[in-house]
Amino acid sequence: MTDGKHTGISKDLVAASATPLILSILGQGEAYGYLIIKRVRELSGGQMEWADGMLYPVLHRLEDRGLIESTWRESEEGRRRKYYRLKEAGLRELRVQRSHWLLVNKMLQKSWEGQACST
Amino acid sequence: MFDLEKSTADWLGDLRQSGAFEDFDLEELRSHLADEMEQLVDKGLSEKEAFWVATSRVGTREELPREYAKVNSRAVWRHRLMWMSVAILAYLILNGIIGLLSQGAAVATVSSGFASDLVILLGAGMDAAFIVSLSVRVLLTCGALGCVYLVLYRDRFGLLNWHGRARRSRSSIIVFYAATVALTVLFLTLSQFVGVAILSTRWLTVETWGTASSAASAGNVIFSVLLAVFLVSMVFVLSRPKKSERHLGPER
Repeated sequence: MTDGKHTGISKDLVAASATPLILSILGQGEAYGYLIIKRVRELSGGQMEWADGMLYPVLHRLEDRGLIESTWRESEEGRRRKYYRLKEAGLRELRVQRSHWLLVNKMLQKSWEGQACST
Repeated sequence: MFDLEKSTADWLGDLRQSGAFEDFDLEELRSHLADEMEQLVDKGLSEKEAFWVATSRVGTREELPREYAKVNSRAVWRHRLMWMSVAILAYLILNGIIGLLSQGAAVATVSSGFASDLVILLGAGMDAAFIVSLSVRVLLTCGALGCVYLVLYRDRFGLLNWHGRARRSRSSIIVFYAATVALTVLFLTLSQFVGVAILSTRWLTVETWGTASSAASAGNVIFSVLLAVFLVSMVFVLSRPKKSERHLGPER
């Protein structure tokens, strides 16, 4: 769903991390698509670059699953934007995802302990 | 001179044609494009440069509809249904025109004094009707055979993923739709013939056959009218997709 070719991050990993990333960004408050993409760029220090238009199908899928909801609103400069907001179910899903990713992180850390790893 | 309004409309129009987008998807992409461009123009790009960079960042014309089609199966099917309805309507209209022409030709033959005898009129009319229906059926058969050929060798035409996917041209989609409709109509006509033949030989005596066939032709007319009305309203509804309330979300 996203473009990882500039960064070397595999496509699968980019795709797998998309949902928890979106959920946690929305967990900090509502946002529209462009803002989410900017936030991902910032969080990764420019290392993870999403093909912009690919974000929206993921957002719509999350909306269909009832994890997030959206509202059309007009900004001060008169631009209509669709704002996405986390729902209760989305918050629960975020907690679950968080525990899973932390577990994977912990497992990797443990298995790397004591290993000579130059990177 | 670069016309931003027109370029944006063209870009959105291209996406719309793929049938994978709802109206609110395009609206969202438009506002995304505007945000992206604003930032690029702030960095010193010209409007034209910013437009090209922004559209290429959003995604290519192939991959964007593909991703949306995965989510918007409803929009994709609405698009397909609409074109199928259009094709069936076109077929009905064509059929009606051919029927009118053949009857008109028969009437003209009589009124010109060429053949005044009623028997000759009936004979000529039936001959004409037979020839017309035969040629329509031959055409449909060709279309159906073409459809089978397309299905079997679709990768050769880039039709492997023929909707909302990469590698397909507009004309190939139209051919595919037309062929699908031709096959469907042919199949329906054949099953109607077979069904009527079985029913009439099984349950009808010679005496009731006349009454039954006139009732059937009246039923046929009513059915055709209802079908046409149904198809017209279907095309009307499907060609103007409404914004889904679900996607608009609650107002706060």
